Amino acid sequence: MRKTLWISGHPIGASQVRSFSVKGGSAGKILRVDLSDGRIWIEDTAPYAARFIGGRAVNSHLLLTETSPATSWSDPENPLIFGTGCLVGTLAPAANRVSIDTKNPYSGGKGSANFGGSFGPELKYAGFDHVIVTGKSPKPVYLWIHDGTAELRSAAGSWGKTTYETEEILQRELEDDRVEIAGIGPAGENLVKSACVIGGRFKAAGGCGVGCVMGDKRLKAIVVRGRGAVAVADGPGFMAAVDRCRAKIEASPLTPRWRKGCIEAYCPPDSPFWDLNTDRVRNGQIGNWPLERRVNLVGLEAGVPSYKKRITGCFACPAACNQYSEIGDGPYRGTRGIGYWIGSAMYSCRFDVDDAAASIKFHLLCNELGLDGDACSTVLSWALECFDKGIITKEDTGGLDLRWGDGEAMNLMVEALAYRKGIGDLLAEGGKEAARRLGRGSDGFLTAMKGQDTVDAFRIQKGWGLGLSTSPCGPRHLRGAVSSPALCGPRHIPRETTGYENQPEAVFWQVCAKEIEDIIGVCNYMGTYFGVRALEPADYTELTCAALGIDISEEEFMRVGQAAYNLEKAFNTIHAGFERQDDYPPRRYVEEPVDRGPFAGAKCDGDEWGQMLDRFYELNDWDVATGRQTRSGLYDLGLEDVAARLDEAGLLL
Amino acid sequence: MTRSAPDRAAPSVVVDADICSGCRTCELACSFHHSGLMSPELSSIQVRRSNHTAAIVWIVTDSCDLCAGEEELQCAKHCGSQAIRLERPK
Repeated sequence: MRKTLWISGHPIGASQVRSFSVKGGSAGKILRVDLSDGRIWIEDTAPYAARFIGGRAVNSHLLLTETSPATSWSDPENPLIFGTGCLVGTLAPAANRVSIDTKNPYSGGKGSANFGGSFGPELKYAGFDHVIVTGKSPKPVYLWIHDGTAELRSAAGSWGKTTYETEEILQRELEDDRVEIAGIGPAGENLVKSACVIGGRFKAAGGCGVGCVMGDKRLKAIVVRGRGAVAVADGPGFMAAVDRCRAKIEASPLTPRWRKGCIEAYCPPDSPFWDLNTDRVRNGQIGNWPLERRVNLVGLEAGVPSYKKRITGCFACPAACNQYSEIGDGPYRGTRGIGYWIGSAMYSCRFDVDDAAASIKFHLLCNELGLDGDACSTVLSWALECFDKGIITKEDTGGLDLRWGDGEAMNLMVEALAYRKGIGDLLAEGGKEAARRLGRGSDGFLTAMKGQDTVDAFRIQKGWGLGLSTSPCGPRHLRGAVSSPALCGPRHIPRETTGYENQPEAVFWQVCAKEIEDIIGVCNYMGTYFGVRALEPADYTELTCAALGIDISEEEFMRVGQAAYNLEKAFNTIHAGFERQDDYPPRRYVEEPVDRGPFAGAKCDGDEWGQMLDRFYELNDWDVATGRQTRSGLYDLGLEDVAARLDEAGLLL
Repeated sequence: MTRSAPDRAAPSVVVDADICSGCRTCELACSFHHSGLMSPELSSIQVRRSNHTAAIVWIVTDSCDLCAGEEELQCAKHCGSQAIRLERPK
C-alpha cells in the first residue's frame, strides 16, 4: 500500500516529476529586495518555474533552499516571499491568488498564507511573478513596484495607521487610485503573532503570522501598479479551456447561491453545516448552537445578510462572493466594508456572540487592524475562558469584564490585541506562550497545535480534523481538510464525514489538489473547496498547458503538487523538528467529547487517529513510526536535493 | 456612473453598475480581443471599484469596436454578473 495516487476514482502508479520550459503565463521576473541595505535586484523566473511551475511551490523551494535552520523568524535573513500563481493575470476563472511564505513566528516551521483580490494580477502586469524580501529596514518603509522597476520609500506617513488609512495615504502620495496594496496594520507593526497581511482593505493573508514578520522587517506595504500584459502560449487553446471552465461554473447548481455571498450559500440557520461545525462555542466547551442563536447571527431578516448592500468580486472571478456591508444604526453605526466569511460566523461562536452587527464589526476591525480573524478569535476566546475560570481577572484586563456573548467586549479585545494594550500584550504572543507565562492550568484548554492557535473544529468531521492536523503550515483548514464528498474535497473517494474510513486517502488527494490551486493561483472556491465546486485538477491541467505551453498530464500535475507538499514537510522537519507526535489534535478535542447536539459524544479517538496517520504516511511514502520523509519517497518525486538536506540533518529515513 | 461612447447614434456597450461586482474580467476579455494579450491597460472597457464604499465606476473608450470580427461581445460573454449589454439607440 505505497505510492497510491487517486485520480478520477482510480489508483494509479507513481511517475517522476520533470522539468518544464514555460513559454507563457509568467511575467518572467523575480524581484529581490534586501531591506537592510536597500539593495534591489531582478532575476529571471524561468529557472525556478522549470521545476515547480509557479506560485507557492516556487516560494516553498526558495524558502527551503535559502533559509538556514539557524535563522529565527525575526532574523533579517528570514525571507518573506510573495508569489503569484502562474495563471494569475489571465482570464482563467478567479486566477488572482498570491502566496506568502516565510518562517513561522509561532513555531519556526513553515509559515504560509494566501490571498486574493487584485494585488497579484497587478504585480504580474508590473512585470514580476515573485517578490523576495530579506533584511530588516532601519526605518519603516514601503516597497513601490511599478512597470518593471521598484524603489523603497519612507513609510513615515503611514506607519501606525490602519490598513484602511494606509490605502488612502499611499494612493494620495502616489497620486494614483489604481495602485494595489498588500500591507500590514498596527497589529503587524506591534509584532502580534496573529497579524496578517491585508490586500486592498479586505483580502487577508491570514495564518502563520506573516504580518508579524512583515512588521518585524519594518515593511509597511508593497504597493504595485502595472501597465504591462500577460501573454499565454496558446491563445485559442487557452480561451477554449477558459470557455469550458466557465461553462462548468455556470452549470453548477451552487453558483447562483454562492453569488449571494458565502453565508447564504453554505450556512443559513437551518443548514446542516452548523451541527457539523459549531463544536467550538465558548472556546470549544459547548458543542452546538440552538436554532434561534443561528437565526440571530445569519438569518436573512436581521442577521449578517441583512446588512449586505452589494456583492463584490476578486479579480477575474465569475462567481463573486464578497459581501459589502453597511451598518446604519446602533453601537456600530457607520461601520462599512467588504468581507464576511463562513469563518467569521465561526469566530462569533467561539465568543458565544450572536449579535450580527458586532460580528460584522469584528471581521472588519480585524481587516482594519491587520489581524487574522482565525488566530485572533482563538486566542481571545481562550482568554475569555481564562477569565471565566478566574485565571485572568479584571485587574489583568484593565477593568474590562470579559463575558461570553458580549460583542462589545469582544471588539474591545481586538483593539487591545492589535495595540498590545493591557492583557493584549500577553495574548499577542499567541496562546501557547501566553499559557506558559500565565500557568495555573490554562494550557489545558488551549486549542493549538504545533504552537499555533487553531480556530477549527476537530471532533465531528474526521477528515477535516486529519487535514488540520497534518497541514504543512500549522493547523490550517485550507491545506487538506475535507468534508463530505459533495461539499469539500474529492468527490470520487467515498467517506462518511463523521467516520474515519477513507479520510487519509481524501486528505492526501486534497493536499495535492490544493498545492496545484496555489501553484496556478486559482481560488479554491472555484474548485475543490466549498464554493461553486465546478473545477477539477483536469481543468487546471488544461488551462496550465495552454497558458504556459507545457505538456503535463493530470497525474503528473498531482505529482508536482505532492512534491510541493514535501518541500513544506521537509522545511517543518528541518526547522521545527515536527514529527508524528505533533500530528495529533489539541488535547481538549481528544479528552473532552462534544457535550450536546446531534453529534454529542464525538471526540478525536487517539487510536483511530493513529491509524489515520499510519495510512496517511503510507500514502505519502513517509516513515510510519516517526512521520519522517524517506529517501525512496523523495527520490520518486525527483527531490534528491531535498533528501540530501534531510540526510545532512540526520532526519531522513 | 460615467460613459463615453464614440457616437451616440451607434450601438454602445453599457455596464449596469448596480450588478457589476468589479471583478474586471471584462477588461481582460477586451484586451485579448484587441491584442491577444491580457492587460487592463489594453482594454476599451475600464471598471473601478472603491474598496471603501464598493461603488463601481466604468467607462468605455473610443477604442471599443464592438468586438468586430467576433461572434459576440467578449466583455459581455465573460461577465459572470451579466452586467454588460449592447445598447442600441431607440
